[in-house]
Amino acid sequence: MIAGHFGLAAAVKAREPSTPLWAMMLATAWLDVVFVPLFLTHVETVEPAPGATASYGGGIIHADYTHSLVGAVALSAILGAAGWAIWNRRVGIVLGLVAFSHWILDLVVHRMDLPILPGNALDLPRLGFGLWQLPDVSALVELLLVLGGAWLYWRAARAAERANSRGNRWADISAAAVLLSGLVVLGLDFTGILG
Amino acid sequence: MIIGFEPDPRVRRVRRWESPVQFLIALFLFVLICGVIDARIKWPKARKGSEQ
Repeated sequence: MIAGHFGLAAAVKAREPSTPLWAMMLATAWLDVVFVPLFLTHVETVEPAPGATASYGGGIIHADYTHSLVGAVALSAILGAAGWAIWNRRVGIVLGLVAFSHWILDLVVHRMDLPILPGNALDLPRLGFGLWQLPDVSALVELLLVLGGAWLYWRAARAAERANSRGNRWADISAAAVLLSGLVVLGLDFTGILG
Repeated sequence: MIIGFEPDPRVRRVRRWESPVQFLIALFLFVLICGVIDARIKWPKARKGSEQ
């Protein structure tokens, strides 16, 4: 689930145009960005899910710090605070919420591997609705998020350009880039090339 | 490796550490491309300390 996060970022950008798209895309993948160094140092791990045949969604992800509910709230708050400091309070809140949306979307697809507390402290039940058990359905949901997000972004970009008496050229190019990014990421993810 | 056996060059074994690195590279590439193109659009600017 990477492309779906991008799709959501594009959709939110359409609603909150003053927040830069790059910051929105970074926010939507923020938990995964922090996950990478922890994965490389074996603090957080991934193991194949029993019976999973596809690499797409075929892992049980022990991201017990970055993808715990409390950890996700903390990381989102940190990014939101950075957005507030760099831009303003509204952008900070938007970036914080977009960062946390990552956990919500992951909750839908993950296989009950999302802990509530960092490090799965207190051994509370892990969460995840497990849509990845149906890879085709999961990929379709991601595709719809990408298409919907790109479409909303395209409409908003055209409206912004029209409001400044400019043509549609850059709105169309930018929306195409957003759409292509989402589709390429989804393709890489689904085929297992991205890992 | 079996002597006399030529590995298929199309089959690429991804070492464990490569996958998240590829993820980061892909992510920053897409963020950069989309961010640069998006910056050409006259969106309302977020000003420091301003809510609009």
